[in-house]
Amino acid sequence: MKNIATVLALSVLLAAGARAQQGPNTESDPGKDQKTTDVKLPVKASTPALDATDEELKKKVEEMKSQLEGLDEAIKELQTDRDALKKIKVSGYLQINFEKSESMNGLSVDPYDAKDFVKSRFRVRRSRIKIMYDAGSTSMVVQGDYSNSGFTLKDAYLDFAEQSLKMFSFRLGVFNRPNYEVEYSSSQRESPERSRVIGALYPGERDLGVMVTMAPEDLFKLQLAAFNNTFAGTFSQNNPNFSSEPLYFMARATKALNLGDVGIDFGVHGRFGSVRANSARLLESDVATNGAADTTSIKVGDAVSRNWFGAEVQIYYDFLGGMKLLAEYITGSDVNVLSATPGAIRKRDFNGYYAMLVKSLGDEFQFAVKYDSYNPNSKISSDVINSTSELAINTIGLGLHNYSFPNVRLTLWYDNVTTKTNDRILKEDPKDNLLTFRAQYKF
Amino acid sequence: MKNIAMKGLLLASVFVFATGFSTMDKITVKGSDTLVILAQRWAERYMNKNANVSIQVTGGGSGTGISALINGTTDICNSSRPMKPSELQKLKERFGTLGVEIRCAKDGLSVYVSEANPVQALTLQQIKDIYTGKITNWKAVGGKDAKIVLYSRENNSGTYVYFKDNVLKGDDYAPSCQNLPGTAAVVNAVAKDVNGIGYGGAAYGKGIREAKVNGVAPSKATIADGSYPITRYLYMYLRSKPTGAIKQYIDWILSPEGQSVVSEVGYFPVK
Repeated sequence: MKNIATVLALSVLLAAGARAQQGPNTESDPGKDQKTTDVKLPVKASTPALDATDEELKKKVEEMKSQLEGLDEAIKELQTDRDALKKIKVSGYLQINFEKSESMNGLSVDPYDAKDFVKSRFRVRRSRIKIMYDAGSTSMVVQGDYSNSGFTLKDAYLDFAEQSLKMFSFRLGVFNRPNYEVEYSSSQRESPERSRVIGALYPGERDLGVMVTMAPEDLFKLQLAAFNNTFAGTFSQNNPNFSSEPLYFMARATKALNLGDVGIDFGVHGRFGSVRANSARLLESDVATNGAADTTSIKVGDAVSRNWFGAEVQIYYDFLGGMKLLAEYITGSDVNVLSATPGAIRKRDFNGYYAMLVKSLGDEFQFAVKYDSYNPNSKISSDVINSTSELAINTIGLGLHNYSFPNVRLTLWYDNVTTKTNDRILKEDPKDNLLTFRAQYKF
Repeated sequence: MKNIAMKGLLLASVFVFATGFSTMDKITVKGSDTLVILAQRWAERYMNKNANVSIQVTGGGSGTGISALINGTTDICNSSRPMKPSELQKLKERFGTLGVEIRCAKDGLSVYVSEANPVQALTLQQIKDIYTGKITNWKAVGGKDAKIVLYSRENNSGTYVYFKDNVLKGDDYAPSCQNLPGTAAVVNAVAKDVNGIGYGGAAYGKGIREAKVNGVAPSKATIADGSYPITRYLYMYLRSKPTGAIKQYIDWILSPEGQSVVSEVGYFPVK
């Protein structure tokens, strides 16, 4: 019974379909020709054949309309996906160095395993990929370095900005410590390496902590940070002579002035904290020798301060295509292991500075000259120092950059390094001048 | 080795110094899509009068133009928003200059609604609330009970940034906002979507209704006298003080002849 009903229903539908195929009755539908002008057909008289074409065209138009609507939906979906993907930003840079030293002292074949010394070598200095998810007022960054020795985590932090005053932003994780040259990426920096004082005070540049940035519009910028020595070189490696300080603090304040053709940015920064001595012997920074007899008694667990202050200035001048002068001075008190009396620690006052002049030569070239000085023991004469790594060192470097190829920077740089000599351990300045050719790709 | 290296560097420096300031007759202009038609008209008109100058104009958005300026791949950047401090910082780092800002035209930013939409006027606060997602239904601003569909420009567009900074007061766009490439695409989307709302340059505002903002309709007079609340300057940026062919071109753009082109395209002259 059910089957019969289905067959009957289908027959009725087929009959109706056949009538539709034959076209409407022209007499009973006098307005039809008028309607066909909607699709702009040059129809003058209604015939069954033309009406059939009209119906087909109408069907086609309807079909295409629904297809367009479908495409519109698909485009909207794609746009939503694309907007989400655009929040993910990938950048990176690669630096390949060819280095030629003045003697066999300075370079090793494998820069990660200094066994065989050579005069010249190639090396991969940096191979960084940075991934950022930028959602406007919040973002997250992870950056790694891929080198011969494997993968190293460099940056891993999240940022968020408060939205009411729009003055404060917060950063948590592993990130660059607040200092001008530390935060100035080597992909942009004109000298191949950071200044010696910066390298000594901020090994690896980064640490794990939190930073609050306060930036009232156009007035000044203040960065306040606390770190916990996770990535801070010597002090993070369970050195038996120290206990890492639980936290140390940093502050940096900067101000930018725009004086027409000249821009002056200046600022100060400081680092405040201490280490806990695991030794009962301490050598003060102004004591001339580092024999055990010169040390003073302290208690294990006493705090030994590591504090320093710095001042910075960057001057920009729109002169013949642009030039800039960057300078920074840092002085303070640091701590290291007393080499002549193992187990004892040494306080040392230090100072260091650099000044670099950079001149743009057209759009494709840039010339730079830099003077860099670091004295790890400013309160005692170099004549009484017993370790070469404790002697003052000055470097004058000059070089040329080329930007002729998209994304590529080519650098030729020469460093003339002068180490302070003394009669005890270093009678001649070591032959460690260095010529560097660097090819960098950045995207 | 020290002497050879020093001499080599010195020679190379002299060479690039000598070649770095050669006369330039080719000028590249890149950036704002809002400005691209105006920039093309300027270039055509100027090249007709100065056969020895070749000017290449491309769009891509203000952000794209500013990146090109910083990377040294364009001589002039067109932008429909001021450069951000972070972008100026990059320019300072790369070239040691502070950039040169030239206001070359004035523009009103229209808020588009469908012609079929009964809402014809909005306040700045309502626009902000709509685009940040606080208001999601047309009923809340005097319209019918229907969900508001948000259309915006892409985030590399100066119009996007200007709207965010000046209308949304720095707040984020609602996540449901659909970003479209070019103001023409926004106009087209709103024209087809009775519940849509979009924004863009007044020069593009054809075929849809431009809503009154704070009771003022965007017009030549209200944009010129500043009574229309969403007006902005359009900018050209250079890395350093212009010289030679670039200076002559900029001077011509700011001359009465160059500024007359601004009016022809539908923007407002600055002089």
